[in-house]
Amino acid sequence: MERERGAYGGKTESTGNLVEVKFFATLRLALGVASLFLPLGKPVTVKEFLLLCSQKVGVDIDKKLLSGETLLRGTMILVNGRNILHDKGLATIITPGDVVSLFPPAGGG
Amino acid sequence: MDIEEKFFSRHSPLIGEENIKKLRSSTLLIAGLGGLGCTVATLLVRLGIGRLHLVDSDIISPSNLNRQILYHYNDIGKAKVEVAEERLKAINPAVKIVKHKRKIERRFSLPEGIDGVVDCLDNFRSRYILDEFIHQRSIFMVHAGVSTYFGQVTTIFPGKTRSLRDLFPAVPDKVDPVFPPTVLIVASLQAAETVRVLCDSNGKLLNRIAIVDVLTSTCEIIEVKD
Repeated sequence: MERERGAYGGKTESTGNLVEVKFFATLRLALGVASLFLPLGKPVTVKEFLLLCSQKVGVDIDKKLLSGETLLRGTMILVNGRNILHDKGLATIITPGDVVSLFPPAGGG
Repeated sequence: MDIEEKFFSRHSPLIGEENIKKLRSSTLLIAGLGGLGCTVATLLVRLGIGRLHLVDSDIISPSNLNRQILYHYNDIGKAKVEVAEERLKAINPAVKIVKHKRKIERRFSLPEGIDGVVDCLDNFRSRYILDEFIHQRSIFMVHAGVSTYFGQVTTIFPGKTRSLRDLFPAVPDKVDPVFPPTVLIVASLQAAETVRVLCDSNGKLLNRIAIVDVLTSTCEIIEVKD
């Protein structure tokens, strides 16, 4: 499994034009990657960002998480710890230096 | 030193006599006696919790035995709440157990006098109902969930954190396989957080989600902001 940063990341300071993307839980299994840095020349929406992630990872992340303009149930996307559903959804803006976390909560007990 | 004093002698130096007393005078409700619930209940009883309300409608099946540590082969077909009570009282006869052989659903009402809830359920449909109940009572809930090699723990505290539904909206329910050590590790974190919240009214996982990854033996924290 690819890992570009240590596991105990906590709050990470991204630098320059990089955005840190952290995949959690079963998304790691599905994508085979725990985290990565993505260079970003200008602010983009979450939807555009997922397309960039797909190109970087080589897996259609956007198709796994989206149905058209809708985020499928079951995966939280947080930009700097803030759930995009409490912001502007897929239109939420990601800028260089942000930390994006993608987390599907586990439901079993 | 009598048996009761010796019982807590290996952890009372860590958490203090005052907190031992606090645990003894506390009442918790454990929702769900599956993998998480078995380990959480066991730890809380060993730590000296005074009273537990146990809620589960299920009977023990063979597929439970890989991770539900209170149950044995010969218990298959018995009610979880009955066997759990017997085993927990065998560990510490001082614990008071109140059994609720039923599901968490709208017509269920939280018992009076509970200090908090431990969410060991296996579906979000029931969790969202429990979430509403704890907000009506203004009591805390320590949530956990597990799937495959992963799990999360977080504390819901009315007025201090988002609700569970707000934090994890519209999570679909599905039955995933689970690696048994994942369940015990996540449940142990959940029990530790529960004791922290009981003892200092705060805890370490308010507005934070601890995510356990047993594949890489790591735990990461997501800081959640409004």
